[in-house]
Amino acid sequence: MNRVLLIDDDTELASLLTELLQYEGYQIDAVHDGQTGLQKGLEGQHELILLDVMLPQLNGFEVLKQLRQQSTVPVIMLTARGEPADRVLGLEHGADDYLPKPFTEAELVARMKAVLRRYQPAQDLGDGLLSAGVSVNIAKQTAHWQHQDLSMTSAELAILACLMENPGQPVDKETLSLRALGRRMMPFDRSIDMHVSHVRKKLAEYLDEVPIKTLRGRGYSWSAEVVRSS
Amino acid sequence: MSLSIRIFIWLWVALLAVAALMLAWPMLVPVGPQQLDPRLAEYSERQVSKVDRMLSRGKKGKWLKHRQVMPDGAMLWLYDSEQSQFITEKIPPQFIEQVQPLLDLEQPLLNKMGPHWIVGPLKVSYSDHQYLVFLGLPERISRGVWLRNMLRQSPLLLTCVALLLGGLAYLVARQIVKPLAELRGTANLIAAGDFNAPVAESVRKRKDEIGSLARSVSSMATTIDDALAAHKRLLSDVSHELRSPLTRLSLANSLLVKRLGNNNESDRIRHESEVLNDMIEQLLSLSRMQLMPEHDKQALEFNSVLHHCVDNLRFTHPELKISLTIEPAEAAAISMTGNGDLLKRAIGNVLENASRYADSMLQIKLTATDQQLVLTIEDDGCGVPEGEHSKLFEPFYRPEFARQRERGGAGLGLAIVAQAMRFHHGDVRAEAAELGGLRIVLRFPRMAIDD
Repeated sequence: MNRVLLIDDDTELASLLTELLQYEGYQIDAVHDGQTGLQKGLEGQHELILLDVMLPQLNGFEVLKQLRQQSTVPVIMLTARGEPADRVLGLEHGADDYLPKPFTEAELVARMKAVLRRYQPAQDLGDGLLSAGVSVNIAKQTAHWQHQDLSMTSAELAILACLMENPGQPVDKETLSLRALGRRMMPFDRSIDMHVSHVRKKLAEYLDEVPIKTLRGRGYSWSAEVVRSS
Repeated sequence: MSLSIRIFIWLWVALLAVAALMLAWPMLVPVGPQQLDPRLAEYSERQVSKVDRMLSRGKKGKWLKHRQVMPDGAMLWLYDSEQSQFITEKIPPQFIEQVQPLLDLEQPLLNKMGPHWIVGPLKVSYSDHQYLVFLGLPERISRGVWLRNMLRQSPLLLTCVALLLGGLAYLVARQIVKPLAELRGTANLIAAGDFNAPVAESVRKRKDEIGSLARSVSSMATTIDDALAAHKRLLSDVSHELRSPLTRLSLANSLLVKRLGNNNESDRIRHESEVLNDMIEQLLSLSRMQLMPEHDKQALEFNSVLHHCVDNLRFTHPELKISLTIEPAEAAAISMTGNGDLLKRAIGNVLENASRYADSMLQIKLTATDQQLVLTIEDDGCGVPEGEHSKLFEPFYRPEFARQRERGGAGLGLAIVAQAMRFHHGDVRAEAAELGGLRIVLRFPRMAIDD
């Protein structure tokens, strides 16, 4: 059974979700403030965290920021709809995806599945991709530069792998969203841009030149040679 | 100092200055003897011929001794050239002195002596006797002479004085207009939606009526700003409060379905929750647009925004035939200044409407000229009666047939479109489509109307 941590101060919502998600095969641990949420999150016992923005004691963004310093566990933020600032902020701090309230159970489950699912490569290309010193193992869900672990979240890893699978070719944002986040792009959606930006930042720590090109209006592309290994 | 007092003083000063100048002119500007202009020469001739007539009528002796005053007020002094003395009696000595240099002149000249303008010497002969006449110009002609003299003698001085007074007048006008123009600039900014636009310090601190006006404008803007901020806070609080129960409602319904299985009532609940959800989102979006006109505008490519919306539509309505034409076809990027999010919402709403009512097809056309962009979206559905075309853009308005069907939305979609168009200084209208349904025409000016 998948263990999911829900951090939301709405206790009624929490109890409804706990019951509902049981039907889908998820076991929910619910906590109702930021501090406790952070503690529990860092224990590392959950496969996914659902994080609300408005929390007592420590707000959602703070929890996320501190959590990300030590963990790459997938996080879906539950944000208020129509606050673009909230969405961008969440993604900036490292959330894998966000779901605005109000949401339906179907939407939530779809997001959760997308984030939890292992990234499926388009064709059977073997386990590994290697380019410019960066090695990505899809099956093991790891990304390294030489021997340094790049600590990528699952969304970032999925995007990196998707780009590396198509070296030199533009991959549009819609495709990246479907393949990496498991959903179509929504209006005002900057999540892909955010994730790409994080990937760039992480790669920039080790590479002088990050081989990710932005093609205005067409998407992104990986501009180095890629070798596939099995 | 109060502005009205200041203006009053300036006017008085200017008036007094001009009056003083006019009075002092004769003392300031030396007047020397001048040539006679044709009119004056003619006038003098006439007067001389009158003298001639009088002499020939035999007026002599005493008559000659009196200073003559003509009917029009002109004065005559007679001088006997042969006896070298004035016949007319009681002539002031300084007059005789001033006249001396003129006696030998062949041609008469115009000269100012004391208060009079004198023309002379004019020759008159009678019974072989040579007389010289000195003609003192009457009041009426004097004035004209004085004026022409002033203009002719010293145009430069006159121009200087005119410029000086003009300069002073301009300064006064500027003193009033400049702060008013600044205030107007600030007021325009406020009217365009920037309620934080500051009134210039220098204008605000003035101690006159303009300063007081500036302070009023400033406090007016603050009042509006505060009211808006309070309204926005209320909106945001209300919307947040509504989201939580809506979420719980939806989740509780899902749970119900899981426990009891699918049933009509749960479907109904789910549908109505979605309608509520939709309405709230549209309402919020509409109010936000109305209250926060300071949405930022950026340079963007219109065709990429359009393609995004159309692609979305193709995905959600694969059963419809959707055609998109762009003129000019070779334009790679059609740029304009605007808010991308608002545009997507506006175009999205129109497309959504069209797809809801279309039978089988949608035609979308974008025409770009240097001055404007025109986007036309039409469907082949049942259309809307002509009388209701303008009402479509009112909030919550839905045509009669929409009310009866499930397909109708909350009625806010087109109101949002109208607001978004207003924000971009464009307009939107509805017409009957050639395809048979409704055509919506959106017009955007290309030039950014910047503050």
